Amino acid sequence: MDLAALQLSVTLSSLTTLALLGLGLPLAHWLTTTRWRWKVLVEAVVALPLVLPPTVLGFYLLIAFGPRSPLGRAFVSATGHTLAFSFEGLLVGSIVYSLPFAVQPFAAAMSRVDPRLVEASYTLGESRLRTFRRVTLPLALPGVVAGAVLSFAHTLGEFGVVLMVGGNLPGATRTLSISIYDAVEQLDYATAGRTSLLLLAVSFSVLVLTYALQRRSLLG
Amino acid sequence: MGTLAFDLERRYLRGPTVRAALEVPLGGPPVTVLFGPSGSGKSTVLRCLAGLDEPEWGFIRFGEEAWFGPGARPIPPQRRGVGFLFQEYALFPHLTVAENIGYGLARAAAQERVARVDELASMLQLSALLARRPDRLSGGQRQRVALARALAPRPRLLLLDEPLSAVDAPTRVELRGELRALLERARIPSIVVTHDRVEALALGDRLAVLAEGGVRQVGPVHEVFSAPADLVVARVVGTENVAPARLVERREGLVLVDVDGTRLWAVEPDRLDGEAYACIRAEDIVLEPAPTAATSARNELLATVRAVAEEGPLVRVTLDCGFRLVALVTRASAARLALAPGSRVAALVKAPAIRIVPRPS
Repeated sequence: MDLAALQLSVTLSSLTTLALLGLGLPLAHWLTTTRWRWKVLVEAVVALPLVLPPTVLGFYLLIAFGPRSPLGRAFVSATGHTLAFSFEGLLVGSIVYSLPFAVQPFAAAMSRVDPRLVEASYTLGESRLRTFRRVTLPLALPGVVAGAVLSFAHTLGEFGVVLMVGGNLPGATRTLSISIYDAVEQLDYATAGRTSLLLLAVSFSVLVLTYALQRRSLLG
Repeated sequence: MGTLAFDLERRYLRGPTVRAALEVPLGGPPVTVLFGPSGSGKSTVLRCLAGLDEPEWGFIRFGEEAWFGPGARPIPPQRRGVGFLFQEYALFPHLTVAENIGYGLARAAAQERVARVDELASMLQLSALLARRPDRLSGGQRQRVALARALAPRPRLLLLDEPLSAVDAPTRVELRGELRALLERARIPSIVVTHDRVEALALGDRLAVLAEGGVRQVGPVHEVFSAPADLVVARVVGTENVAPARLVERREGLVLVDVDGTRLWAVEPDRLDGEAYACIRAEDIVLEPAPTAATSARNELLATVRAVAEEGPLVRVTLDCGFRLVALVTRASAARLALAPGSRVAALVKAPAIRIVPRPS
């Protein structure tokens, strides 16, 4: 098995999950509390990676990372190398690609929190932020954990976006799924089989954990 | 002491417009009841006062402070110093009773917080339940925890939204008395929203009737109930005579009460000790010619007719029998008795037709 690829995939998934917690929690909170009439547009954008082919997403990311886009130029002038075909580019791609897997469970769990509990907290003197920390987050925790776990597993198994944005550079952008693809191309079915089995086992455990958590939150 | 004064309007898309204006003195008797049928906007008014909803238009002033008004940003609920009791109590399900009560004291020192939680717990008989979660409490216990939580940060105003609607009927009777005693002990100006007449009588000092888009009448509870200012109020509060009554004696399940010097027998209610209201529906009063000799019949009141007014097929007769009493009789009996202002009649009320609402103090 390609241990460098395994290490890269785990690092990528962990960082993606952390970033999605930081980005997804405020976004989900905003989506469940705003009365803005065009919020459906934001919801649709968040959900896009669910239906868009990864190659399409990867293509647009590649364009955005390129030297003709402001983002690409800014990154090159700051770091000296391009976002495309780098680990940082892969991270950005993974965050976008797994966004719905984090935000949707977050938002679903938060919208089940009784709004009167939030209002009760306001009348007891607690700010929006402190109310989120003391009431909304603890009550939505099973959904938040589920979202984080799903994002981790989803990033672990991504292929199309990685191939489009990252290519196949060992140690930098070659993830587990790319290494399986490589092994099959070289007719090394034994290696491909071991790596596939690992991904299957991880994915299955993650889903069991997620459903168990949701069941507990429904019963609790 | 100042007053809480507001005049506000809240519109709903495809719904009614709620408009309410009221002044609540912050010094005097503590409990003002905001009474009205469901849909009249009572809860909306309460939410606007707490800062949870924003009126489209109007002002809210608490003493010298402008909580809401033209040309200024509304004061957020966090800085109004208001305690809010939600209809279903809205206790935090992931926190214990102690953590619920202490929730609003996060900024106080730990020692102070513990002391305040203990103080409220013993005042509300919750000391044995401090480690429990809300889902292991009875309806009455939940209400007391919610009240303790609202009182803990020492609010300047207490708002109670249908405080007894979430418990079953027997508990409600018990809680009614308890809640009145607690509100009196807490000495915090309180506004109670309810559509229940008995609740209004048992809890309130003053009553404001909210109906058809506005506050129609304000006054002492029994006065508003016995003398509605207009037809809208009369329809909302019903035609019932309500008078303060005092317990004189008990006998065989009946009680003798004193209403402004007149003695009446009634069926004994639960938890009566001292002050109460006697309620008599106008339809339940029978009028007869005044007896020529003195009589000792129970609940026979000698009265002078003060006013006679026709109301559809019925006649509304206002009587003076030591206290003000309104009776509804048919046109036929009004004609038979030749009712006119100044004439004398006897008013008869059966004991079961007199409802006694205890008012513990």
